[in-house]
Amino acid sequence: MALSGIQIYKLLPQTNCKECGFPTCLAFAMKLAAKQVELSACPYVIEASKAQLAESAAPPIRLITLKSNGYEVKAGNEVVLYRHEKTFYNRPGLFVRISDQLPVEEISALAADVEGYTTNYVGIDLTMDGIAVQAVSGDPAKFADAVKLVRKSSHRPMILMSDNPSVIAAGLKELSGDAAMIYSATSANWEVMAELAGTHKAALAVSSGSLEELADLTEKIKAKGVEDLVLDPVGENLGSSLILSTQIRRLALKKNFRSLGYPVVSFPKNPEAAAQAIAKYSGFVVIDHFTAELAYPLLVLRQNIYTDPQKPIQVQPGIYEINSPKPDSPVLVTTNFSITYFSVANEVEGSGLPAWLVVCDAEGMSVLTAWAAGKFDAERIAKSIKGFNVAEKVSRKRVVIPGHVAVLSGELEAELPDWEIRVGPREALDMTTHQVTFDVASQPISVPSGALLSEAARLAGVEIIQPCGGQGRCGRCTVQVVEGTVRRRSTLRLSSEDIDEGYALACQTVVESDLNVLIPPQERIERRLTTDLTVAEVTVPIGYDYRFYQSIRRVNLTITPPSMDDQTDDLSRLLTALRQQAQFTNVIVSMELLRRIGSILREADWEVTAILDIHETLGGGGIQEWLIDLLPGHSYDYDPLWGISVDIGTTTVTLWLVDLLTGSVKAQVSEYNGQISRGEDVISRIVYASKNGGREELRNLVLETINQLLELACKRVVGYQVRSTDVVKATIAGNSTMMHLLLGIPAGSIRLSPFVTSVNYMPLLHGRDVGIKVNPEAVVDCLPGVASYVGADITAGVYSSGMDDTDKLTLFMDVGTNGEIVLGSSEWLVTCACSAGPAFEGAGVVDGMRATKGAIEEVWINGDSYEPTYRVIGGGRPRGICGSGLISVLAEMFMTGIVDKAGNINNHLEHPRVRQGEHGWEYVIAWGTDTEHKRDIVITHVDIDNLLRAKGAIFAGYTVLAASVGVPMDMIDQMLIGGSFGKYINVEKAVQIGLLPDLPWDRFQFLGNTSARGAYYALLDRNARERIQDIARRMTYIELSADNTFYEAFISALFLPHTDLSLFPSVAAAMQKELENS
Amino acid sequence: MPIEIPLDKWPGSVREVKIGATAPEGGTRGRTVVVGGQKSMPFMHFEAPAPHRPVIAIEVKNRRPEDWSPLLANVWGDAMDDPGKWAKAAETVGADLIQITLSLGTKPDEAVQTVKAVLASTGLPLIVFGPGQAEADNELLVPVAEATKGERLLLGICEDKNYRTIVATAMANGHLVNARTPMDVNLAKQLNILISDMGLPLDRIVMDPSTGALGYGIEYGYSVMERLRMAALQGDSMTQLPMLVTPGFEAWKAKEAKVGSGVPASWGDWEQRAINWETLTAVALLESGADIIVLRHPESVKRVRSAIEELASEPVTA
Repeated sequence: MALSGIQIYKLLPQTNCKECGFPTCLAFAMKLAAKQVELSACPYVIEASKAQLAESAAPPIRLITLKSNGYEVKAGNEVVLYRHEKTFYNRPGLFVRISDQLPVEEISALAADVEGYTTNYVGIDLTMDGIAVQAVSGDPAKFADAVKLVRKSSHRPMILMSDNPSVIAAGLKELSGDAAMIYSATSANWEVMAELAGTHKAALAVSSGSLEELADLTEKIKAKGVEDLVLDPVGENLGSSLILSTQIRRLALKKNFRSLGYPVVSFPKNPEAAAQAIAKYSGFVVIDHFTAELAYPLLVLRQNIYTDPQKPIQVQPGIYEINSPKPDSPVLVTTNFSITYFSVANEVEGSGLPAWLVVCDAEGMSVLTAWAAGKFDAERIAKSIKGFNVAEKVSRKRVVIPGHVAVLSGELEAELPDWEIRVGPREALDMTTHQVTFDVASQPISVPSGALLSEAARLAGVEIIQPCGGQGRCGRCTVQVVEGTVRRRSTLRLSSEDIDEGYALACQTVVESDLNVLIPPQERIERRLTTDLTVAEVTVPIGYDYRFYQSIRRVNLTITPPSMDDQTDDLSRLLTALRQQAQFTNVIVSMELLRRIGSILREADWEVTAILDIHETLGGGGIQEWLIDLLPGHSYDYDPLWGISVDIGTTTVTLWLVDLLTGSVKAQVSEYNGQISRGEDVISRIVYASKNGGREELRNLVLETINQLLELACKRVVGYQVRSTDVVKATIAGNSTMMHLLLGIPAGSIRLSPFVTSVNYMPLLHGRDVGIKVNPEAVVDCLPGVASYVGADITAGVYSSGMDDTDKLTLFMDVGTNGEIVLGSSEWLVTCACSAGPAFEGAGVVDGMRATKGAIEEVWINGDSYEPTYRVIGGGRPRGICGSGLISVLAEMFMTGIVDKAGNINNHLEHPRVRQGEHGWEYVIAWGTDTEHKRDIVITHVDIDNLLRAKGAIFAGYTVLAASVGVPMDMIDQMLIGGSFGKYINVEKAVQIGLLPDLPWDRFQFLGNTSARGAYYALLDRNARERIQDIARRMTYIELSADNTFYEAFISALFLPHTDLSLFPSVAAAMQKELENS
Repeated sequence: MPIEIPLDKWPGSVREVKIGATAPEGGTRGRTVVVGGQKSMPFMHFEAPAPHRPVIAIEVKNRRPEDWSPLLANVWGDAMDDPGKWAKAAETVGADLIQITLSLGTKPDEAVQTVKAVLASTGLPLIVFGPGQAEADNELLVPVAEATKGERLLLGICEDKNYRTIVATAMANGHLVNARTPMDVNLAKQLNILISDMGLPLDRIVMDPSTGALGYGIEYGYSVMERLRMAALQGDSMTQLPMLVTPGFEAWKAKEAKVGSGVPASWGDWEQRAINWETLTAVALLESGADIIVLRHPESVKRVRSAIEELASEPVTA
């Protein structure tokens, strides 16, 4: 039986030595379970484990290979009954039967036909596999002649058919060097046939109408030393053949029944039977009549059934001709996902437009998916255009890219300077064009229907800035459409009045008619700088003792002044004092401090306070004491000693100022990350950073934010005058991209396959290196991350949650725009990341807002009247709705039937609050008469779709992660939830919409900003760095997009609460109750 | 050596669905068709014989389809100009049911007349599909459903974005719905839930998980159907419905079947290839669990019929 990843893991050394080429033993174990790697890659596995693993790896169906000069046909090694369970591996060999009774010319001609047959399917050349020669004559010499004739015309593997061993022997003589198949051994002739098979290294087919007899025969033949066997169960018709081959496959796979653990050969009597043989388990299929009109569909069917269902189906990248293109025909570009290719090719074909279709290798993804994953970018398109020598085929260098990736056109122009880049429609079936007139442009521009306004602007030479990279997040590309029809894919950051006046986001708005467009003067988009005045509950870790846990030491030194009798240098005096008065023997002093020592000592009259940071040297050898600062005069024991912990979020930066002596947090401040103006998510930041000067600019922006926060925090402290340079130690947590950008390290590789960071483990740095205006000598500890999308924010979060140190099986998730999830305990840790979108942060939703004053945070809806009541943060009139309010309103709408389980608003419901609005159907949560801004607050069906996608992604993320290590959800002892939405979430509602699993509520715990908390704990614990490194080292990153499991889980979670209601028994019960009440 | 064949022990079974109603049942059909009822994976008689065989429907249109392959135009001839005659001809070549697909542009009263004409010309149960655009479907299917109350027609195409109107009219007029989703197990199940949440009993729903033709994504449809059938047998009530697929529509859309010129020589004889394309698509889908197969060419009907006979024949004793 096959072992699961966790079972295999227990047989491995568990040292995470990385010598196998994988980051952890668990990662290697999971690859082993998926049979994607050999056990021999592990040099340290013990013999006992080897034996156990080998047993589990033995194929239940023997691999049989037929060979001839230059060809081979394989069958066997299959592991599943249904292709979706994994895949079918070895495509059955398709053979054509030729009788030795046929006239010689016919034999030669037929063999040549089979040999020469080739047909092309989606760029792949398909051929037949071989020929079966049947001794109808029963005459050895005639048979041998026929075999010889066939061999003259065809070099492919052969099956020799006769029940007479001497006839077979005559045929085999003509095939020396081949591994042919003998058909067949029966109860009457098996001994001689087995001998022949043994001598000629041929595979031996065994025939019997009964499975019992078949098994007896294979055992007897095996005892003779012949093991390359093939089964012929002699099915009478379609029905019996299906049952027999199913039973054989089941016995082999489910019972590991070795006597029938061989591939099957079948002899279908008609095309239907041949199709069944291909789909239902034959390893070799011998057809009677060879015609092209049958060979082609059978070869295609075989190709289809044997594609790996876990992988997207791909078309061969290359240049395809549609409707006989000429040199002046346009060049269209698409990806090699087969469905994408078929739809584009079919539509273009149907339109009659002659065109060259360039299919780029996007690893089989559709246009949008590939673009998001960095598999379909300007570089790849340019590479394809150049690689397939497209320029040689066309006279006019004009390339049309899909409308969905219009954003690439600029980059593509840079990559293909001598080409004209055009943007095509989003959907292949839309090909009409419209005139777009911009007020600032000299003349109108013609674009295809469905093109983006931003693209039209670009073509018209009108510059529209798009800080978010054209993702509709920043709202800076707002334009005013004064005439014509457009479709707004997103209206984020536009009010309904704005829309009434024709405002639209250029990057999200599709041209649907001729247009007149005004470009408004670019105003600086106001960005609220919020300061988080509500201080999160933080307690000093229990048992914190400065003397044991802190790496910082402060000592008062009284140094003997120099004299003519003692001309020892200043530094030696200081070091001697440190040795004698504080037992520090290995002090390191920076250049900067060396320059200042003399003056400090003299000004202070040789009475100074030294601050040192103590670290073990690499390899755990000795201790080094880094001198951080030397201050004039002696300090009091209770004077605070300052440190900061910083969490750099993609959206918000949080900084805590801490007294290292007592461990208490003296000030907490936070502010939007200054980089937001250059893109709202990590991907657009990375893109921005890769542009000229972008990296330095982003680094300065975040430093500015941190330094402003530092100043602010210092001012906040009551009772002390704190200067920023008084801060002698800093810890920083943040996702991998933020960390790279802070340090000015190129982050480009994070975005592109195979998605690696430049650095996961940062060395200890100093304030002066990083650019934070703390004490220049202060050690800045940038906490380690695990992978591109699992950074120090998560390792710090895990550390602060203590899940790495508990026996309880824990699921930890940090819900933000990116949901990061960790599962495990002290024994093992696995992690993944999934893109949830910003809906839970109140973004991407018409009336969404952050969870601040004026946000609706909870909603109740009366099931009879459909009238809502709500609670607003800070009381007063509402301005919008925040994440927790959205969860709450969706749950209520669902439980009261205002939306169906798919999130469709019930438009048959006649109620004033349910209406058709700007964005389709919507529900009015608050009438304008009750709101602060006098506008209705609504939730639209688009909002609901966004919420469903966000909750679906998170649910899919943690369930797939748990399933990947074989953990059922109800085995999870505790569920820890971090992120800023975690403070407000209502568990019941979150379960009702299927965001959280249906577990007893006492298993959920909300932790708030776990990343900031982790950085704070690390600041107070000199052993933290080691512990977090250990966490990072132990975490196994699971790539969710590696197969389609995540996609499936995601689709099934796009339902309320879930497609499988049995996963949510408490919700089912509540729904039942609701039904009874109504 | 004695062999113990491993048997799948399934807790669930597919629901039986009856299409059409005879006079005593409140309709006018000469006979009804019952599909479903399986307790095992397709044709595994040695575990549990299936009570009903898969059935074949032939697709006819209310207006002569200009975009159909000339091969189909040749074989159906003038019958294509009259849906009543066409349906009768389809019955003659062995259809178990007739699928009448209303063309785009058909007016509501024209749709009602067509369906009535077909009901008059054949005693077979009827599947009625709208043109496949949500608004047009709603506009035509509601009057048809009202005018044929009690006939237990199978109405389509009922999709997640427009299911409410069709389900409501099916409920009110004693018809069934064909729930179509784009080749995805979860989406199929979701639509069944939405429909049954409206109150339509599950024995009046047929799932249409859709498929691609051979060479055009059949493997997706194939696996989705296998998975839906397994889910049903495992006891998931929302997937325990018979399945309808349209290999005729899919195969004849493919270039391989549709056109005879300008194609590679390695594709062979056009007519034989076209029929192979439709037949092999249908057979593969039968193997993966189809209950209602909608075809277009009489020769395909004959061959698929013969395959069903063989597959549904009594079990061999192994």
